[in-house]
Amino acid sequence: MISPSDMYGMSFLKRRAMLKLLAKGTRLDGREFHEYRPVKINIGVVEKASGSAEVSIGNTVVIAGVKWDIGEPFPDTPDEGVLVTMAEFLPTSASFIEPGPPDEHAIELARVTDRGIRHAPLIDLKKLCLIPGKKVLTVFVDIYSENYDGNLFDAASRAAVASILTCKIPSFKVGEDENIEVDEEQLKPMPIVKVPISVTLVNIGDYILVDPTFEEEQVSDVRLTFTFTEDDKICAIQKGGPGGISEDLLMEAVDIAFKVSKEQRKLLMGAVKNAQKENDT
Amino acid sequence: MKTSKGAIFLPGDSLPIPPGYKVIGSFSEVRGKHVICTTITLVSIKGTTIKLVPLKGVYIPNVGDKVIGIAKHISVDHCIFDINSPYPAILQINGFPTKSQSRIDMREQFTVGTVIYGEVKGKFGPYISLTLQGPELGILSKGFVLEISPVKIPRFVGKRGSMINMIKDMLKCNILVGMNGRVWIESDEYEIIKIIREVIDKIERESHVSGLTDRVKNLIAARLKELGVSK
Amino acid sequence: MSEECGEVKLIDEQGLRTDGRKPDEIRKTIMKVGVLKNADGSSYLEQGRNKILVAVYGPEELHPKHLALPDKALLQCRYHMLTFSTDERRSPAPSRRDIELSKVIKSALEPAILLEKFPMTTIRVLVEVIQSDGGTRCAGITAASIALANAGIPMRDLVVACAAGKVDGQYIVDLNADEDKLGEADLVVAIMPQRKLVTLIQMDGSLTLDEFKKVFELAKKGCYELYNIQRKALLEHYEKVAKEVSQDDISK
Repeated sequence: MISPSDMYGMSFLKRRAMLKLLAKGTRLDGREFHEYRPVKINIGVVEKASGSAEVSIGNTVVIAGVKWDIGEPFPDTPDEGVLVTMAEFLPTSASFIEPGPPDEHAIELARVTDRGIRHAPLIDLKKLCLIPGKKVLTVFVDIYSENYDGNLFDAASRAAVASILTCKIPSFKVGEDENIEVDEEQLKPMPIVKVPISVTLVNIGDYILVDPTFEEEQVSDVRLTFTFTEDDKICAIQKGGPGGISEDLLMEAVDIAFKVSKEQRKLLMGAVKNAQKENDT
Repeated sequence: MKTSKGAIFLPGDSLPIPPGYKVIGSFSEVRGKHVICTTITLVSIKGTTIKLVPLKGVYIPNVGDKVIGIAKHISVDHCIFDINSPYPAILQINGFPTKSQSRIDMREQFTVGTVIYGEVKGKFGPYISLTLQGPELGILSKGFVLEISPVKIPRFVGKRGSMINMIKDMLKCNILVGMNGRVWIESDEYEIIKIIREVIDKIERESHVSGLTDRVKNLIAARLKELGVSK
Repeated sequence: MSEECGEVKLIDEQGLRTDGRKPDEIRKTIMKVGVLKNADGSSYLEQGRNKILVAVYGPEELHPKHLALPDKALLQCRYHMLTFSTDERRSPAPSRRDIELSKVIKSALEPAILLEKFPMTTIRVLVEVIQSDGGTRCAGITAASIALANAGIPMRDLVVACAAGKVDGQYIVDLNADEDKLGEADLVVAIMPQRKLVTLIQMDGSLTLDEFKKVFELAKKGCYELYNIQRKALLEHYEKVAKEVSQDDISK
């Protein structure tokens, strides 16, 4: 749980230096405006999860895991599996984060990640139906932040997507009396449709900064998250922050985000491919 | 007892104190004829002195310490500062550096995030009380603040200021040291700040290995050369 | 104990356990410190398939203020399991077990910390179980102790914990999840290894007094092996830097 009163503002001098540097065209950590921090994707870190990944973007670290269960479908989608996405800020993440049930920030994080995955769509939920209207596979994607230095949205999305892409689920057979037989020997990958890549940027004054640090988020007016699929479509957008953004800057932001999503997609797919190769050998 | 160049002790590790030897340093407990380290400590013996230098430790304010604070709560007659200590600091009107104190409204002097260089006067209830009266003390309205572990401050300053004076001379800029693990650099040149940040990283990493001053000197010289500044 | 006990063999003909260990062998253990950037101290520990992340914050101001103690720091510990840390997905809500273990971990660490140095403040120890395979409270205590040292919080000694028990009539150290579940007894011990103080003891199952003493010795032996790994983890960084620096000197 984040209590804003504990997030006492950054020092005046740091804010001043940041704004001065932006006018010169660089950022406090020396990055260019549209430059992402180094990304590390570690796949398969939790053997007990069906799929898992730990992703770091600079000092931000997020871990995600996938578990499955057999459950009932929603009445309006009787022939589709169920996707449940949860996010929690672990109190290890920063001194001002207190343990407790997910607050509005964690719920927003889970919902934005979920939206990217659901609307890409990443998972072919129809293939997770066992008995229409009665029994379907429920997929739980649980996301935890371990260390918080800005841009949790992209870290959460990347960790969740990497976990799902490398997830292994058992084979299911519907037996007599609608009993479900689970064959843990016959593992198969999750049915995938399209892969969503989110890119988060912030707006400070007239500048647009890709992949903001915690300090940049604190100073920013507007935070934007765009999620793209590989066929060059947008599948989710989320605006945050206390300010508004001009139409021109908004259109500039979406173009920048689109460009950055291409490099980030390469990075993610490279890590996924490596993990799959290691798994096969 | 042999003279050692320095060994690293962990919490709970003890060392016998031979008769006639004395122990200097913080974060330790003397029990009978043993000294016991309570934090990760560099232990060295010179002559009959056992010197304990903590490599890890939190800042505990002492009267007379100069500290760098960041304002976090302001009311009419006082201001509360974060001084990177378990206890927040308070500045009351009588610590403000003007004579006509009766007219002062602290809310006009400080905003959340204002950075100050103050001196620890003592305790005031649950707070550490500060004063801004004294040379060099006051509000820092330009420059930049970098962070360093409080236990590394003595190394950053060096013997009789040797390290800090060398850094100031080589980079030609003023530096103020807060005992609470904050260092203020009177420069808006980002290149200078970047070099000092690198110096701090080196001190953090290598303070337990002898010859630190020379390594820092070489580092700064190399960076200045890259910038094309002739010495 | 349970009926199944006789059917499941926990120790085979060669005298080896389900994961191939000898009775007096601890699991393969890796420890690291300083793994999280924001925390004042942190550690990561792998003991067999257990994976534990610990962050330490403090000493810091305590909110709400009425919880503050006038003569010492308040030690707050939280033991928490991630939903995917176990075979079945766990509910994200804290369980009664989590709350008890938080308290047990606190009482195991408390004797070692010089809390009286920081009246009115709090020291927070956050134990996150990323994957669990039996003995996570011990692993949590062992990891928390090096995270506290990494944070520079003054301590009288490190704390290290290990379990021992009895399965198939034999005494074993460092129980895994199956041995914990199906064995005849499980004894958890935490000690301050240099002060030779016991800071935690818990048991379930059935042991004679004589057996208890034997199992206790075995747990203690496990503790000292883990203590050596703790020391290595805390010194690793300093030794690595010293080596790097002296190599730089030689190359010049």
